[in-house]
Amino acid sequence: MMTKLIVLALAVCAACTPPGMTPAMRTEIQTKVTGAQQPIQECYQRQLTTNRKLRGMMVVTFSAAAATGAFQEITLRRDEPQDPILKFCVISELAKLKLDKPPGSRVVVDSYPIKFEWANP
Amino acid sequence: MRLVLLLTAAVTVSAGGCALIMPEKKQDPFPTIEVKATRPPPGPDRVVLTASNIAIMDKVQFETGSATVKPVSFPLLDEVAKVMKDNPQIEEVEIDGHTDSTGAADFNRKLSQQRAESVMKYITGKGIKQARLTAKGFGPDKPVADNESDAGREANRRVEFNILKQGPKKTLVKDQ
Repeated sequence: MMTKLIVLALAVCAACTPPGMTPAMRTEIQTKVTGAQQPIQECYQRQLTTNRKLRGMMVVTFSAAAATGAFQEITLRRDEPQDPILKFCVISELAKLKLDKPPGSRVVVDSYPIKFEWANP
Repeated sequence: MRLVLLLTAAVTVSAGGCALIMPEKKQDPFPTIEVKATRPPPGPDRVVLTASNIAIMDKVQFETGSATVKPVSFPLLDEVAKVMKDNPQIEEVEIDGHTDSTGAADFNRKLSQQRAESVMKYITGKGIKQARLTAKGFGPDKPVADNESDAGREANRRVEFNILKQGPKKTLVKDQ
């Protein structure tokens, strides 16, 4: 009876564990995404030459895989620029990222905003 | 000992149960990444209204062998739509699709018709009434350059916006 109860308790705990993100992971995710800023900026610069009106907010969601730390399940929650090439570029650049150490459990980033803005009027 | 274990298990189960019904804490937002880039200077008008047509200084690009307009051409077509919006005196525009002479003429006529229709669909999607537009595919039948050279074939692969009917002029940017 007691064994069953313990097994049940463990199962329930495992099921309820929220996607964990320690402050250290959060900082690392921030560093990694900031590191992708340069290629994303280059992509934006390139797209501005085909559409000089391009700008706006993108909000990205993604997760870091439990076993590898690789960024995956990258989707856009908000896409104001509405430029398929820019969207593809952002997703591709984020997909290249991974955490230095596997987090052990899937880490979900609900919302990472990226603002595309003109440097000149 | 049994009692301690039982209590531990019970606490664990109830904590787990609580987690099931407690709302998950909302994640603190990450700081916004600001990506800035320099806008190129506005070039010469790519779309010019003349007496007989809406002239485009750029190509409408399609996927190879397909009628799908490439996204790179959306801004150009947006400008065409804007010219039509700004000039309500333009009552009817024929969107003409043309190809070079490479390949079977019948296939090219069909493809150019589908491409003209794709362009029409895009422009109507930008708020231009379909009654103001018609689409026609000519295939290789109306070349503007020699099909023997690469440059000639490139020139022949084109989309034109010919004005079939217009009322009293309200705005005329440039005449041919």
